[in-house]
Amino acid sequence: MILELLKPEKIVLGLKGAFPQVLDELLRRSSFPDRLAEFRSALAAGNLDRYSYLDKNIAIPHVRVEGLPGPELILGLSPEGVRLNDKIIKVILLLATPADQAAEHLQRLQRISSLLPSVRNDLLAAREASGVLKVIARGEQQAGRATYINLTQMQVAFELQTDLQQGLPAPEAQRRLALYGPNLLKKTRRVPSYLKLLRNFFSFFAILLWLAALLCFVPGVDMPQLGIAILAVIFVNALFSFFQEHKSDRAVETLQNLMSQKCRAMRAGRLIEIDAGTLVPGNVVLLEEGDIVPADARLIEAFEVEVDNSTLTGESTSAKRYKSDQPILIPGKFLWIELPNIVFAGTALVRGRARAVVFGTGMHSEIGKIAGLTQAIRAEESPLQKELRGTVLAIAGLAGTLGLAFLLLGSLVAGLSFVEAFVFFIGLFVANVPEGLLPTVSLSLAMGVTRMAKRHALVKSLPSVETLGCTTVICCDKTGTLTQNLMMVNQVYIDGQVVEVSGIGYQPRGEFSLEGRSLSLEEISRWPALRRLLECAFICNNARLEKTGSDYRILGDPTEGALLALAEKARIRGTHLRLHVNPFESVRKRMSVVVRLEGHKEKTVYAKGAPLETLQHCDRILWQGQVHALDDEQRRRIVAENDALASRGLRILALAYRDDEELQEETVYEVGRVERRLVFLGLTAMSDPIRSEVPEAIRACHAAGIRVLMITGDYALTAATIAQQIGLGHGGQLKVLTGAEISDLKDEDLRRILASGESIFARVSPEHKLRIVSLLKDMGEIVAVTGDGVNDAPALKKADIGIAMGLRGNDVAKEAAHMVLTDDNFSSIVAAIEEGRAIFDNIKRFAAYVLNSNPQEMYPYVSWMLFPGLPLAMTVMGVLAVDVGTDLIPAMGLGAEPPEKGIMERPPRRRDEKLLSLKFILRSYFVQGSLLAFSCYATYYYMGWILGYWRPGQSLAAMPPGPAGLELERASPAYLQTLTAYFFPTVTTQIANVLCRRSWTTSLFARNFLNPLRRRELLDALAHWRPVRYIARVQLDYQISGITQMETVKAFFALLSGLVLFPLKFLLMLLSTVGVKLERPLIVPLTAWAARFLDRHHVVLNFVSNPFIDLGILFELLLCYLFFYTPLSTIYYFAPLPWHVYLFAFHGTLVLLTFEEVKKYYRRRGHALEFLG
Amino acid sequence: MTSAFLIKAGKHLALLVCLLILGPASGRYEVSQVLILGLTVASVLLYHAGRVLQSRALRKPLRRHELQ
Repeated sequence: MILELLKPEKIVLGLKGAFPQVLDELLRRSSFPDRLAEFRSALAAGNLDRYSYLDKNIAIPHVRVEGLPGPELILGLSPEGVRLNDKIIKVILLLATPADQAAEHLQRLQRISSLLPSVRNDLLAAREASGVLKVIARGEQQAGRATYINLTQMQVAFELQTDLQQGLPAPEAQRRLALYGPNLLKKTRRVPSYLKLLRNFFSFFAILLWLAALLCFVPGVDMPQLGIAILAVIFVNALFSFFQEHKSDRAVETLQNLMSQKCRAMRAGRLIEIDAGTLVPGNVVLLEEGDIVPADARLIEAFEVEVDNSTLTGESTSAKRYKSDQPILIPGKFLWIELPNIVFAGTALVRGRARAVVFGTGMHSEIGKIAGLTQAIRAEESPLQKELRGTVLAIAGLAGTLGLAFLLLGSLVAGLSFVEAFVFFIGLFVANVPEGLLPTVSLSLAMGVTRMAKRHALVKSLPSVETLGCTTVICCDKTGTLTQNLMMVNQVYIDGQVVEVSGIGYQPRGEFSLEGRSLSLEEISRWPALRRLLECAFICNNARLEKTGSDYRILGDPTEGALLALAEKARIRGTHLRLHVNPFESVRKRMSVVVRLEGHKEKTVYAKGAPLETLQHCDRILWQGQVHALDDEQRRRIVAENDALASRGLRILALAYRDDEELQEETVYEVGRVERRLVFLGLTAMSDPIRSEVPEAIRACHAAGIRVLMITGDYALTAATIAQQIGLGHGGQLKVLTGAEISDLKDEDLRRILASGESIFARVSPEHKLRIVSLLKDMGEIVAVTGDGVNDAPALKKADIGIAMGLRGNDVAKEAAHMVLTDDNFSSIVAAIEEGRAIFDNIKRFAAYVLNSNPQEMYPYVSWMLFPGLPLAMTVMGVLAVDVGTDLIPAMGLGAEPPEKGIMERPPRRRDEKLLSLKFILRSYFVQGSLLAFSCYATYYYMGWILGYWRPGQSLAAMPPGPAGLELERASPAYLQTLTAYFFPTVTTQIANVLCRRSWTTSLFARNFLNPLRRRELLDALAHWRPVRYIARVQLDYQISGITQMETVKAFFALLSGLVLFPLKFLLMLLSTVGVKLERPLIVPLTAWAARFLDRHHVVLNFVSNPFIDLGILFELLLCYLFFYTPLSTIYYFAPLPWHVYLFAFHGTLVLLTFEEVKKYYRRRGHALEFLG
Repeated sequence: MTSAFLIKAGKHLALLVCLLILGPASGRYEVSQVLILGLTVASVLLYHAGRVLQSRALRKPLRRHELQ
């Protein structure tokens, strides 16, 4: 909230002088220079109201200005202090809010008042504007949820300029009504209703119905009654569509209805009833049990008040509310909506009575914000979906052109009536447009997101799913992502010696040993330097050790947890009173605490941090029980020991302390004053083992052409050792750069380093990370970057894929990221990339499958148009039959395929690579499509041969002729059989097509066709399938409250549907009962046998492993039966065929399977053979 | 998937209706007008069932905490 408004240019450091000059200095930074006069007049230059002062030298001059375009925050810091009246002010935060935003003004005021005191010291210690912003960000983040300080009633009354007893006088209420507007929810401008209605009258589906209606009135048809009936259906259809669209708009009106209509308010001391729409901020309202709260209001009096907030929060239990007048700081567990002395518009008072002052009305209330968001939300379309939408339109254009050509030739040349030709045109158009393409893309993306979630990667947006598949570089943290973040101190360097420490994880049990000899607890406590170091480890620590069962876990930072466990192993705890904390900062890489130990009057500083950065601030060393000056030789030895430990991949921390006389005089404990003249104690070396899956994941990245860069705040040697262990740099020389070296490099030089190979960037700050990510993006790389902290947010946002850590990441990082790893594991990133590639592959498969089937439908029409002697081999009914039978269900099965084997052994896809290039479309149409059409013609001519019309070598026109004018009712049985003979192979070839499309390179007959994990999942699911017990339930009683016609109708239909559905439910129950009874004797052995059979016969398993495709194939074959052998054959103009023709038609399946298997064979050997499709 | 199938089936039936209307016009066969009307209504029902399922699948719930 505060960070959104506070920009670097709005921060003024080092303020000096008298308050008027200070105010001028601040106002110079305003974004509204033309309003300065109003600011000055409102602030009454130097005479701030009493509510502007907080404790701890903080002032928050705040003002609401009419007509201000937006809110503004300006922060001024003055470490020396500025005198204002009788107060010394060091932190001044000027807040200006538009006058009509009373609710937002109060909310900001409460938020600022709670935050500033907690970060005051850090703000004053900051040296530049970016440091100030980091302090604010950290303060907001450390508070957890937003915290709000409770303003007193008097302050609220002052801010709202109202009298809590008398309320507002009528003229003032009128004036404010003109300023704030009515207490109503506004709708944004939408398409006018009449246009929406018209749109539904002329949608594509509606046009089909119009065509049917018009045909009824054509001379010769003469079915006017039917035409009128169809017109009525068109009208109902349009209305129904209109109401469906209108429903979402109604959501806003529904919200409006939640706000009450009338309410009781105090006007100039009198209680009157007013329209709730006229409420304004400052009105005092009275609420009784059962009332709907009319506006957001602060309670002034409350008697046993309970509210039902379910309209806002969904929580069904009521919440107690109080007047709560004390200016307390409510700790960080409350949302704004959970504040105990505020009631919100649209909620209901279920108990008690209250008096409240209104502060939020209309769109400025919480319910108004919901309405605003509801209207603003748009479904996000990914770039792929946009591309496909364009492709579908292009194909529709092509189909439309061909259909139009048929329309003209058919009616002008072939003797069809215009109406019949037009119907054929519509049929061709509908059949050729791949309308299932877009739903399949949505399905693929959605299923991909679900699969990614199972592999611990939560993707937040659809475009990110596509981008993942194109990733070329991963910039990865070390600790916690590549390693387990499970720190344990292995060694302590103290007094020039190395003490070994044993133990497991965070368990506070272990031994200290020196040169092979175990040290007792007494020896440890009598060793001054070691005891001090362990005390430091315990005291300079914010973590907590918690026992869970037989194990221990850490609440807090793992590094601190390791130090805590170290101290606990020696039973050294150090009871103390903490006076001050200088928290850890990634820039200075240290932290310190000022404490008073139990039984001591003196203050002690304990500090820990990165070895070099801590050593810099030490001028003494605790050596063999005495404090000595730290000379260069000792420094050199410490650094050498540090390097030796770090080169073994250990994480090193230095610990120090200070308790000199100068410290005792200090009253201010900021960093610069306490973290100096420290006494060096020793080094702790801790190990963080790498995650076991990481080396394999790195290998997978390398195989997939993805580079991995390690970006860490840790020591370079440590990072390099870890990098070697996980296989970074392909086992060769790795480039290692530190943050300081990066700062010295120009962009061109850094680009050269980033251009190729893998590197380690150690001791970096968040600014370095952002710079690396920006340069990589400029170089055209698709960058994924990990992060977990507030400071990583800019890099996460900048990257193509920002990846936040789910376990150790904070809310700011998760908010900025595109993806969240629920297990913080690097291998999950690789899994997500694999899934991202699979999704793109699946969509391509589906598109190829759908496009392959179109030529089979088009060739007969094209041949018939070009060669008038040739009979038409497929009618429009056949085209429709192909369309509904083969295009949907099996195709969607392709969209649900898991990642193909070898998907991570190809380089990343180019981001600009089109899914459906012209080459791809032409190949699908004319290479594979022609092969499928050939099979249809082969069966067609075989049928002709069987019927005695055609022989090999004869003219292709020597087939049973079509009826004149294509009056199919006069078609001969022979012609109908040839139509059927052409149609049936479209089904059989599509069976082979869909099965072959499941993989680009792996043979359908290979044992490794299925991923081993998927194979095991399928077999286990089959072996453990059991019938479900289903109980038919029918609700026959229906309660009606109030006797209205609509209620009666609803009750009637509820009863009717219950009765109608009952037989079906009963049947399901019977089947379920039979299934359950047969479970043990039949189903269990059958499913186990089926699983064993499929495990042994992998080819069969390969063929049946996609349930969607299996269902689609069965559906196609069932449709064929219905079309050929039921009365549907008279509508679709098919006829049964001899059994050997059906058998012959399966040659297309074999031909296509063979073609694809040969192609895959050569592809596995490195020949792309793209021209074959 | 079901939604796309229902929408397609609805359009398919609508086209079938057009073709069935043409049948009696050419004197080829008699088709009951009630049957044609029934198929028309069925096509509309299928189409809208598909649209309803599709819009439900696309709609996202508004999470309360996103407002904070």
